[in-house]
Amino acid sequence: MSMVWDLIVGPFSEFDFMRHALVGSLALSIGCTPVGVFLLLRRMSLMGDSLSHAVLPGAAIGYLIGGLSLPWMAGGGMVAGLLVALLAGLSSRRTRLDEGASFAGFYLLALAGGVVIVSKWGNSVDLMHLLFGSVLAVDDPSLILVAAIATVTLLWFGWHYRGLVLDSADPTFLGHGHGKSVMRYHLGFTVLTVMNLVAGFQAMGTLMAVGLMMLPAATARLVARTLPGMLLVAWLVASASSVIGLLISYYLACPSGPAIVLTAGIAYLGALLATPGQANTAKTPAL
Amino acid sequence: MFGLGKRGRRSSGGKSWLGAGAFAAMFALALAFAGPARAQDTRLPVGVSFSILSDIVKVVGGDRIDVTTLVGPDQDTHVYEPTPADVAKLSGTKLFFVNGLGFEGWLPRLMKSSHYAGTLVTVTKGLKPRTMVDDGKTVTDPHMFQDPERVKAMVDNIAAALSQADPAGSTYYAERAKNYQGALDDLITWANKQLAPIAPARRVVLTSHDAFGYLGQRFGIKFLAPEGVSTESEASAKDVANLIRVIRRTGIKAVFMENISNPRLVERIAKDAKVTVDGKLYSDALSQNPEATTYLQLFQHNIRAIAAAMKDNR
Amino acid sequence: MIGCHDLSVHFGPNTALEGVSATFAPGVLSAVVGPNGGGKTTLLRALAGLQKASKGKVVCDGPVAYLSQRPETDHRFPMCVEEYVLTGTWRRTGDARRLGRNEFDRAHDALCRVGLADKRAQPLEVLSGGQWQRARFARLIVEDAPIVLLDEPLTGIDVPSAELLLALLDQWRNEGRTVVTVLHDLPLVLERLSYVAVMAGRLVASGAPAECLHRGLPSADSTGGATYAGLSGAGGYTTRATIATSVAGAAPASFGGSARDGAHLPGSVAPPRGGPR
Repeated sequence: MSMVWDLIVGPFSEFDFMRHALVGSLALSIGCTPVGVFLLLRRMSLMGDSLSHAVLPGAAIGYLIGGLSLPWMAGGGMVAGLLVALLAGLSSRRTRLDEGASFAGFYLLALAGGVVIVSKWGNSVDLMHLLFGSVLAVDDPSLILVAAIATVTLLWFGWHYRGLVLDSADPTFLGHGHGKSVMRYHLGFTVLTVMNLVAGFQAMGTLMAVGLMMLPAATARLVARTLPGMLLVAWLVASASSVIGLLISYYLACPSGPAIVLTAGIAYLGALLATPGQANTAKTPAL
Repeated sequence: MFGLGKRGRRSSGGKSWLGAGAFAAMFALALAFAGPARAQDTRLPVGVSFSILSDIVKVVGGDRIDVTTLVGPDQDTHVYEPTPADVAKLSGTKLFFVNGLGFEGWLPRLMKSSHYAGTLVTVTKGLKPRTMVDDGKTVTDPHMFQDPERVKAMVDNIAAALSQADPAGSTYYAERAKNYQGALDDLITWANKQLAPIAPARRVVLTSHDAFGYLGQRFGIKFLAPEGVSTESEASAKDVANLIRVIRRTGIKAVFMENISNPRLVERIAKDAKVTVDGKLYSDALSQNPEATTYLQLFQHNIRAIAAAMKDNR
Repeated sequence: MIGCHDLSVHFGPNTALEGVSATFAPGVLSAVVGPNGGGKTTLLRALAGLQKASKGKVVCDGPVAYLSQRPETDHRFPMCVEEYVLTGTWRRTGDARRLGRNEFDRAHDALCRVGLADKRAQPLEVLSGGQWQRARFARLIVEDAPIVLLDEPLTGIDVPSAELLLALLDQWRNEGRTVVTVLHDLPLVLERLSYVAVMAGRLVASGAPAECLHRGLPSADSTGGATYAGLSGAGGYTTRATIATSVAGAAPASFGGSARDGAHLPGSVAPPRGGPR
């Protein structure tokens, strides 16, 4: 028994980079869990991946202003991501385009703009290596960033839980009655989503950030019946995937980010196979 | 996608036929304009793929040539993507000097879509490359220019190509080539002197990009890198752990980042192994920094830095 | 009390409402009736604050509870029935205030009232349509708002549930709340409600049901002309064909005389019918 324990704990006690990777992944899991679950419930599951492309012009402009400096580039990326997300939300409310189409339009615009900016005014230095990190290379500033954002996320969700649930489940109910303004839920949620994603990109790369956000949420959706249950399952899946994925990378020499996401993916597959019979897929019940 | 970490020597991504059509269109357009202007300038127009090679070609060619470079200082040739403007630049040149050995992964595509009418000169032709194991595969290491001895042979190739295109300047090129080879010889002697006090067992360096194989071969230095030549592949925890163990066990103190690569991983490894990062080595390009604006400077800087760092090796 | 003054709502070039001025008083059961496309839902949404007015304004003197025509919640959302009903407390408690014993009791009572007490802990997705409608009534009860707007609440539910809701409406009226509901069942309106507003893009008539409805209903195209159609006794205008044929006659048919299918006559105590279609 203690041999198994040594096998599990050993790599982390021996190497600093493994500890950093673990803490970074666990912190990311905490922040990404509620965001991922609500993204899924609000039918915006593909936003994470699209956003990774949308941050390019912001990072490029940040690089042009501040050079290869992380705060400028990550900050620029965040601003770009926020702009795209907010503009998409606005456009989907005002026009007949739905959220997905609006988002697609704006992120493609952003991506193309970013490529043009970099090729005209930047040089072909690998911006991506600075903007998109790797889980094995998590340094202290990134760790602090991710942890801080995870904390802010938890606080905001804790405080606005009910309103957010209503805004996700029944926005009409929330909107009527000439009462309090309800934009704050959508806005706050969007801001937190972008923050978690950009911090995740910067600390650990796109695959990890989006993977830890959506796969546990999808797994939880299949398995849990209540919202608190979903949140718990998602968090457990994300955290366990982090640990197991890192150990797989350590013992079997696989790249770490993909190993973690694959582990979460296996959980998702398991849930898919283990929970058949959710065939009542109509949005409204039969009369 | 632009620059998304693809450092493989295979061509990065497929440009659509639309892109090829754009190249051809720009080339045709450029031809139309290139003709008349060329009449005044009597210098031989040549193109060069990247900054290090460009410097060498300029030295050999001197005043008789006019050089256009595609990948400039501080830029990464591995992930470079040629633009239609590059096709236009190339269209006026008679010779195009490239490193070859897969260093310019985008070359075949560029040649095909621009229908280059001049002569493509691969400066490494006839020189024996070394192979390396990258992700379990044996691949050719393209960074031959890191070995000044081999650069001497490349200079011969360059001079020969220039003489063939401009026979009137043959003597001129031959003399300049000889001078430069002399300078390179001096450089090699100097480097050996710098490295002499360091015992062979302590000649180990950690760097993030495996670009110094030829340098290591020439001067008996072992270069370790967490990622192979292709930084496209992500490192696994096991490889990183092994590397750290090796450092701890062997006591390497010489740890470097480069001007083009992922610095964070190197820093992480250095921190874990309790070494400090000693500074920059220049691997694939000249720099706008004053310390590496020519090849000779680049080489000197690298050797100085490596020697100084290796002194602390246990 | 809730009302509007010169209210107009335009959707681009289309006019849904034009110059509507109406007031609904507390302690009175009010109905909004009219042909399809007449703007009833738009009016209710505007009163509820969900639809912005292009012109004019809405006035009300208290919080409003609104029951939409179709539930806009995805019924697969991971929520149980009790939670769903408890969301009715949101206006009072907001995000942060803890739900007290009082609120839980209120929700429990509401569930008992609508006959869903046994389904308290079930997720929403197991409810049938009719059950869900009853859950929505329960939420309305918990909301406890002085003004209640309901858009076709009796659509597609069975007779006992309909009866339950009507009893609820009566109770609310007795408690002095303002209750406005869109209904298609005209005999029902005649029988149990005391105020009606007839909508066809604009307010065509308002007042006591017996007076407003005896001339029949205007047809759906509100081109300003007053083509009145007779009422099919099946409980309201149905298809245009029926309306059109009944207009063929020169004089507008009076309600009493146009019982085409020989069904209920006004004044008879007909049991309330569910399913107006």
